[in-house]
Amino acid sequence: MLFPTITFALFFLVVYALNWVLMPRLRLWKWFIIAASYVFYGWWDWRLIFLLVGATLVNQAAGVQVHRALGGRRGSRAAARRWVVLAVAANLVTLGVFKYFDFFAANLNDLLGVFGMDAPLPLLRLLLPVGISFLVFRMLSYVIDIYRGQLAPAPALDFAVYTAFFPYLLAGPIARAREFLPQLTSPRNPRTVDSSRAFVLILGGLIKKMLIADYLSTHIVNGLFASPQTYSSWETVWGIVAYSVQIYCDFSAYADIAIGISLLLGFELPANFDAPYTARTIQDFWRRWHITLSSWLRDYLYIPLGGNRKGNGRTYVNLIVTFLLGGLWHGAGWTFVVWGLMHGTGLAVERARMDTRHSRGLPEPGRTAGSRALQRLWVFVFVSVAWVFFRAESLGNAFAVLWRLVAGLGSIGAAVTLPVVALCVLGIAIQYVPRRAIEGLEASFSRIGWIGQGAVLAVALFLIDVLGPVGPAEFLYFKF
Amino acid sequence: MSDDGPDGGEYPGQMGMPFEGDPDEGRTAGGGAAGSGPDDDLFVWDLRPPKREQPRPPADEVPGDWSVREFGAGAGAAGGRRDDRARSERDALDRRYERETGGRGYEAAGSPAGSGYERTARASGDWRAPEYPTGDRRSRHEPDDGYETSEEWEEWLEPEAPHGAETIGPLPERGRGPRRRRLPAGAVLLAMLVGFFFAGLLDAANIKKDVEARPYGALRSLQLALLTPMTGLSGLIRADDLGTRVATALGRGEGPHHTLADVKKTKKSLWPRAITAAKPLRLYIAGDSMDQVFGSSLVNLSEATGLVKAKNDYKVSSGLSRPDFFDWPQRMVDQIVDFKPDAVAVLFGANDGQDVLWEGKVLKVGTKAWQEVYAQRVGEAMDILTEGGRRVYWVGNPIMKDFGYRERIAMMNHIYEAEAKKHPGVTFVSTWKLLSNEKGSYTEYLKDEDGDSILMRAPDGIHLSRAGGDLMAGLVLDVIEKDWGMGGGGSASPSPAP
Repeated sequence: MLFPTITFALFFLVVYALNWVLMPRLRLWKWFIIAASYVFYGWWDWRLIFLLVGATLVNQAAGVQVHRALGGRRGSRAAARRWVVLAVAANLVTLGVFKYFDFFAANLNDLLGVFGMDAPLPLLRLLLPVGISFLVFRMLSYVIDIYRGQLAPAPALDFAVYTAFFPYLLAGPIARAREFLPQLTSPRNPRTVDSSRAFVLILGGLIKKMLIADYLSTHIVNGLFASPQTYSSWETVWGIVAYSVQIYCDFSAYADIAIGISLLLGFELPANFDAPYTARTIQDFWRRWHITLSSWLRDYLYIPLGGNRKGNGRTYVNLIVTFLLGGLWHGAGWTFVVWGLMHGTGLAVERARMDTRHSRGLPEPGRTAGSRALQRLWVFVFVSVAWVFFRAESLGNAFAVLWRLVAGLGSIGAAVTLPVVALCVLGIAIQYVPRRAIEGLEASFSRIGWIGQGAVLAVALFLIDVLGPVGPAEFLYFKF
Repeated sequence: MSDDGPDGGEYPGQMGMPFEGDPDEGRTAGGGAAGSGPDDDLFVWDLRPPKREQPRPPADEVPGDWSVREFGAGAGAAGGRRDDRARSERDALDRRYERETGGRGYEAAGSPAGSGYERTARASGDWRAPEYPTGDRRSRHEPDDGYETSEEWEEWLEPEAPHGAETIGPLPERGRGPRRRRLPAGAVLLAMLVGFFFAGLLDAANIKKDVEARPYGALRSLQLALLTPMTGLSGLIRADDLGTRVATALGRGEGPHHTLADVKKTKKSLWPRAITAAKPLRLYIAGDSMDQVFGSSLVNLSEATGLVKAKNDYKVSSGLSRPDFFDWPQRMVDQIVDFKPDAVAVLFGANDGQDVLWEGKVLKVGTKAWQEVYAQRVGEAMDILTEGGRRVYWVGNPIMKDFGYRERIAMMNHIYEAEAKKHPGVTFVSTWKLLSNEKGSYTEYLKDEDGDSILMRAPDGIHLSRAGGDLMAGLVLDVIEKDWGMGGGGSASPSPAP
């Protein structure tokens, strides 16, 4: 079920009303929200429900076993570790079978072909369950946090809610168990629904998705990546910028809508974006882009790899490895490997430069407004070039796009239109809006009462539908 | 009490931040018992400092079962009266929730003594507080991995992370901006109903069109039934007119379309004629999602010859069986007039294996009546495209993985082929065998000229990989070049017929 559809609107109205009617009876509410989430997820394919049920049972069992082992006699930590390894393996195997088996089989087949052994491994060709990577990340954090002593196992019912809660089910944010589960211990207050912030987030998300991302996608990005040789250098430049704006507006829109919907149901989810294209370093970018993923990678990958405790060289390697795996998480393909390597290497180089500056006692860069602007421009260019690999269907396709930057000199090209340029600028400019201004907007919106909020909703929804694309458009991050 | 927090509602407890100290104590201190005085913090999620004097926004009249006024709202005598009334309303609501939560109220229901989770923990003798630690990462079991040093947590990515690397689930700090007023759940429901209703009134025509374009079934019928009164009312009060005018003013209404008469006025296609770089062949490619890869491959391959100016035009989820979803005949007319193609390549059918509406009746896919209607629509499209002597290359779909789907695709391919024979200027290009294996079955891989296995299909068993698109486009380009006397060279590897 897609958020910006009539079907979801009807679904949500029913879920919203029952959510608050059943809230006082918390146990009944939990059964209800599980059922609603299963309907939401099963709307794509009813068989997907088994994935949720399986993930709930396996990880809850593992969590309980880990907790039991930790609370037992001396030496039981080894038993806990075994359970953790088992749970991590089960989750990763599930992810691997659905997402990576065909990638590795295809590459192995290519390799065997080089040596004349042409016996292709059969590909499973399983349809990738929507949002499976987000699900696996949540499950892993639950079991590992229990192992680390940061969390006790939740009651099975609570954990089932955490596994299936529909607002974040498809594309995050990756809410950790220790963030979400405490909200299940008591009913949410039906008298203090943060509707103004929720509506601002939802409407803002719809505008970003339907008016900016989808327009840029259909009017320049898709064409550029499908037939790069027909695009001029200027069209290619704007096409690449447009994709940077598109992916931000698309993905952050989903996160905003998910957070807004959760707020209406009485729950808070962690923020996932914080004006990423205002970043002055790549490090800064990763504190602002897909925040719940980068913090997950930090806590469950980078730090276990050794973090920065084993010397500078090892730190750089750890950064590269972390982002290489982060790239592979996004998709089974060499383009994602290159994308991850670019970011990992960029972070390592930046860190090396920073270490050098510190050791020499040099001042931090970016002391003037001009140099800060240049820093921001450099980060945007770096990130945008990396997005080319992220978007391209193959390495050849990515290089073909980049080649057009120099091979298509001449006319501007018909694809560079005023709306395309304006939406690109708008998509970047909205990230420079001060947070206080947004908070002021939310506060003003909260003061107009339910009738005023309803009126704003009516006008905004109408305009979004009129100006938006015909038919539902999937969010980019569903496939991850 | 106000419904809002001191910093706009962002304070620990709401996000499940740790309750400090004993959970019972924390909950009592933070929340107090149900039915406490109006100035107390009543709920465990309200962990702001109690009895804090804050300016309060004016209250709204909020009807409905959930409604409650904000305490302290209003000013002067009227404000005092409102306070009293609101207090009694809230007390009534509290009593209701006490009743519904077994006399414990919210905070009691959520307390360690009350919730199922904590009760279980206590019963098993395993109760430790807090059981959902979120701040103390090393509260119980000291991890022996030895990596959790403080500098480790802070050095991630950047030493002076402004949002704090210690943040769990890093929520960017929101400024202490103006306070937001919160609404009761019932009022929010009313706001949503108002919003959906009036948006629906203004946009009734578009919404109805969207819903009508959905696959036939119970959900479509239900949504149409729900929409019918709204569209009726919208027409009655002419709200749809207003909506249409606004849409047109914004440049997103239904623009002027060309007609078949305009097509007839266009310059006749000169076939055969010499194709040169100065006077290239103008090729229009149309289709559904299958055309996304195939069409772009055909654009790439054909334009690489230097003799073709191509345009790909695909619409995902579209086809010829549901013109109510996307009107391809109209689109073809518009494109012929605007782009002025000499030749057209089309690839349809992937979404056409569904019931169609014909003279008020739903015809089941695959029935004789369905085939006749579909053939008629294919024929009409061919009539439009061939008007003026334009050459048309109707590309058949390749073999599909799923058996039932494959059968429907084969049926439609037969219809295309039969209609092509009836329409001079239309060439049917079969790709079924091109993407089949030696046994004529579906295959993921085909061998290229070097004997290497190349992946041809997408994971869904329907769409094409880039290599698959190139292979199909190469075959079609061969046909086009032969037809126009342009010379060969379009074939992509692997060799077309395995």
